[in-house]
Amino acid sequence: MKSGKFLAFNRRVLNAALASAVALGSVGVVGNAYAAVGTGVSTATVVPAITISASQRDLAFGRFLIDATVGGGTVIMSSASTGVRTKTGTGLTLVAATPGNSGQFTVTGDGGATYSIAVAQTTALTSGANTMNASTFTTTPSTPGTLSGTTGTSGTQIVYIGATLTVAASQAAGLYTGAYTVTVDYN
Amino acid sequence: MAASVSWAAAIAISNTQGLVFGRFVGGSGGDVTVSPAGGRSASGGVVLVPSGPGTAAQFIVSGDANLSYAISLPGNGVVVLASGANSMAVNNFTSSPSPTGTLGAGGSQTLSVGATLSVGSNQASGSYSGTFDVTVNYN
Repeated sequence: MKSGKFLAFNRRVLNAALASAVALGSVGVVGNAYAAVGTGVSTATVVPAITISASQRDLAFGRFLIDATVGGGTVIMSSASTGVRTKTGTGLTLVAATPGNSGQFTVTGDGGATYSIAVAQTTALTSGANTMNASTFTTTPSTPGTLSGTTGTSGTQIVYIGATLTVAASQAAGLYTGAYTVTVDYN
Repeated sequence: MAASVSWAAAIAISNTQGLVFGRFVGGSGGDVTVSPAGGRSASGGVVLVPSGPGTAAQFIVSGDANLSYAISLPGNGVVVLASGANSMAVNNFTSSPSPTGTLGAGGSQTLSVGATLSVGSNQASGSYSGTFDVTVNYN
């Protein structure tokens, strides 16, 4: 009898101890079960602005002759690093001694970055009241360009410009000049 | 004496994606903001570089199904991104959901976090990084 009660008492105590042990265990394993903290990483990359130099070489079509009785034509300057000049129109004759050249700029910015290159569609060259239009501008590289080097260092690229000059049969002789715009933006 | 004990599964939070402000030109300075949805915008003289986009931070909050929880984000003046001796402050933390969330039937929910980065005038070029804490608790 005495031993029976003792056993019953022990059993109850043991059950209570187990319940509390389980509760303590769950809290002990996870710390505060009702709150948790997460950590994230945040990043940002600051790069220098992309810039384009002042013109380093004029886009020059050189000298040429027009025979008004035959007709006008076009003078084409390629965008190669050493520009190649060609022409159309039997009335137009290129003067070899003045071969002209492609235009040249240098673009600077974050190394390895790619960027778009945009050139105005049409530009007028004028000589007093007389005008000829340059159009169909081309570039080497063609857009997009890629700056030298790797990000975090300064990178550059030279851009060459070509175009097509339209010459009228009655185009007056003279020195014609104009300006064109090149715009670059990071991609 | 019969006793029953029931307790909620511990709430937990794990980070699965960082808060990325991406690539940009500092210029005359301004802000870059990433929303919890992941959209990036700039103000002032900052120019975003499209090929270096931003992302919102993502966390997975888990615990007992259908329970709600409160979200605590960093206050202002706490988080900084550094690159050597240079730094930029991150403020105006926002989240989705906000300000509380509710775990789904499966016991979890995705928590997205955005914020605003302050870029100084002539901010030094470089890669900046830092950390931030998010606290969740059953409510």
